[in-house]
Amino acid sequence: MSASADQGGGGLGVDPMHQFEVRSIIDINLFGIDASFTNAAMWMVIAAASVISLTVFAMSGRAMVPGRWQSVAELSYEFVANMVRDNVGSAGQAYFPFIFTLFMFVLFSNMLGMLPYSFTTTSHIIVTFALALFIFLAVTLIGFIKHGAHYLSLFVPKGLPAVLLPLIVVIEVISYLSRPISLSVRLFANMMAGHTMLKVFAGFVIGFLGAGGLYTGLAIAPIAFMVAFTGLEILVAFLQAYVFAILTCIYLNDALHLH
Amino acid sequence: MTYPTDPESDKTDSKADLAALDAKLRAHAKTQGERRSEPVDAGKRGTAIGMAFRLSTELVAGLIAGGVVGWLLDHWLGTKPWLLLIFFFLGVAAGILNVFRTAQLMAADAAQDLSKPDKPSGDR
Repeated sequence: MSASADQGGGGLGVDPMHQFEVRSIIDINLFGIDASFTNAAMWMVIAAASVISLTVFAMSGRAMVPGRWQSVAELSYEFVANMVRDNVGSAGQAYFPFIFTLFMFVLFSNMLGMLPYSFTTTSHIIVTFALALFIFLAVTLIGFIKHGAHYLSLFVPKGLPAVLLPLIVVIEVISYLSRPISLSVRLFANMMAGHTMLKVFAGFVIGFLGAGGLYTGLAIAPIAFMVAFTGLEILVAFLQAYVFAILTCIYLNDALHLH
Repeated sequence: MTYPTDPESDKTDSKADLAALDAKLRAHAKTQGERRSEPVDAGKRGTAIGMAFRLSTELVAGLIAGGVVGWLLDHWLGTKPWLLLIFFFLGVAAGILNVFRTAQLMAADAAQDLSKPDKPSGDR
């Protein structure tokens, strides 16, 4: 946090948005398209590598009585497996690898963002929207493959008077189209709001310390708040990954079992 | 021979043992669950803001989706600004529908938590 204080621009000496800046690490230009390897890309690679190392190396022992790391890997596997079974049923088994990958990637992106000097990839809406759009397209495709044109009956509630049909169907379609938006906005806004809040309060600390004299003692208040808020942020990081995965399960359930 | 020679009797014995153990485990899990139910409730209250946030994103998402659909249709059919206006309000309706469904889901979750206190389910 002291690093951002040096480069700050605001009146408090800290720019709370500085942490979200995407910087290029290796410049790559592919046929006139800027495909540079940025800090966002680097942290996504780190998140993916962490998930792979957790699941591959921690399980390499295959001990009957698991050690700490193997326990973590088994716990996360069972957590997601139960989630899929509860929300999608046995038909969801085939999609377990995807849900597991998704949950672990989002969880690790959120959690790595809690490290000092790191970059939170999920605090950028384009990242979460790309994930959500992929889920949306995949679920829609699965629905049409499983049910054919009959999948469109999702938009027609049962027992509807014919007069209301055109209006309700349009509303249902818009509601369906809003799924990727709500999915991505929720994750992005939660992560961005939390991290901005932390930096704003860090700015208060620097402001109080800079004022000197009696004000120095007041700096303890924002520090105490930040400690508590960091705990809450870790909870939010987990909860949002959970919500992201469980909503994917619910959408998948809608596509597999028309009701 | 200290162990039973008849494999069939061995099977039934272990089956009965397993059933007894299962009953014990279930009873234990029940008491454990009751003890654990209080902190779960405390966590629920902490994420009330999460619930509120979820409902508001649902509303806004419906609105955005309606607006984007209207804008694209206007762009395509050249009927600016009428379809945008119409679909904006349809988007509001879709948003309210989203909120209603999410709230129903939350209510179902809460009802499930009340009826089954031994199964701590996640907060959404």
